[in-house]
Amino acid sequence: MKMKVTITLPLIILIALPLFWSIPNSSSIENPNLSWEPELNSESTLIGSSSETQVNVEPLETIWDNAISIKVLFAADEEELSNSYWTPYGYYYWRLYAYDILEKVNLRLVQKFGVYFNGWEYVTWHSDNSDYVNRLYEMVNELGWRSNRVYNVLIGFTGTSMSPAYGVVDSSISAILIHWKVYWADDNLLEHELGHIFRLHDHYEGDPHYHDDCIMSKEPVWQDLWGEDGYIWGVFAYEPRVFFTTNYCSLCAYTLKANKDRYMYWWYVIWGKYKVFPV
Amino acid sequence: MNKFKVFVLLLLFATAIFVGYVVHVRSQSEIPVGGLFYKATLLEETPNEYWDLTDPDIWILEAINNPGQLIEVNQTATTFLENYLGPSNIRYDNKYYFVTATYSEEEIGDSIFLGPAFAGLLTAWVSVGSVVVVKKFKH
Repeated sequence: MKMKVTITLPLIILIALPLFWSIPNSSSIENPNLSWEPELNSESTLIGSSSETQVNVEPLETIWDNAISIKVLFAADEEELSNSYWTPYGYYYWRLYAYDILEKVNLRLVQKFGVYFNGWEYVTWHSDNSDYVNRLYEMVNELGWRSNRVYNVLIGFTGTSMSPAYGVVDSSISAILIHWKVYWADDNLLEHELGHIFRLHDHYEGDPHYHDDCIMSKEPVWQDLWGEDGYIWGVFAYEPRVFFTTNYCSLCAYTLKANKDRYMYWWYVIWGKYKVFPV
Repeated sequence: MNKFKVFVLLLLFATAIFVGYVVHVRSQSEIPVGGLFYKATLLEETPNEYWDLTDPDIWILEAINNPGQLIEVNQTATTFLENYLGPSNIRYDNKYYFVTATYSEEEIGDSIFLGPAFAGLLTAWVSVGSVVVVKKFKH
């Protein structure tokens, strides 16, 4: 009897603890309480009986055809060129991994907002492994990056750590620099950084949307285990909500929808006013 | 005490340490989360192109007063971002600065220890449970 208790009790604790701690975070899986509504055309049919579960089942091809395409230029530094990353489908070299992560983000954006990032072209650059802010501008400078009609957004990758930063972005010039860390978080990081490109702000404590189930929220959330694409990771840490949701609060959804088709317009304006970037 | 019981006791000890450590980590709610940062670099020579900063907010002023340092910004209150069109030279108080505004996300924590430890403990306990069940059926 004693033996049974000795064995089963820790087993129950080990299994129950993560489940118990996950309960407060379960809202991050789905938040139907958004004040914006998905766009439905007249031929769309609805799944589910309540309005909260309405899903646009317009054929995905049609959604992609009608979506706004934002053109991306990938850039990798010399260390990144030799890197490969774990995915559920095997190890991908940097370019395929970047494309795969971007496609995960695109699937969400195209269905929610009718916008996606089209990236397959790439260039290389040489980094001096300086701190993360300098490294971003080092890339921009070296490539002579200006957002233009051919490439709207620059997404750069560095193969060496930018600690303490995971990703850095200057939204004014549509330039992002990322050092990939782990498969389950990388897609959310990229989506968050692309959110900044659409002029979305982080939600910090004191912000009305801080506690919202939003990918821009920096509220620390405890997560023990995290499942994605059929695999489970042990997180056991407080991380920003950014990494545990793919939803948008009403403000971010509104801002993104308002800005998604003004992308080129910004750059016509900025092109004329652009000041100087020292060489 | 046979080897199996010693193993179970050690496993119990390891589990207690694991749970205690996780509870300790969970109690540390302060985590760095990144943000929007301004940085100003003082230029010694007059640049060819620049723009005049006429109505600075407190954060860009702080950056100007602390050249080379990253100054965290209240993203919803700052007004500098409306005029900032990318890294550029500015003139303020007859001095010239190169300014940048960047969002950064902090690295996520490493789960290289706790994840595998959890998986290992779970596997060990399931194995112990299986051994006990098998033994019972044999008896």
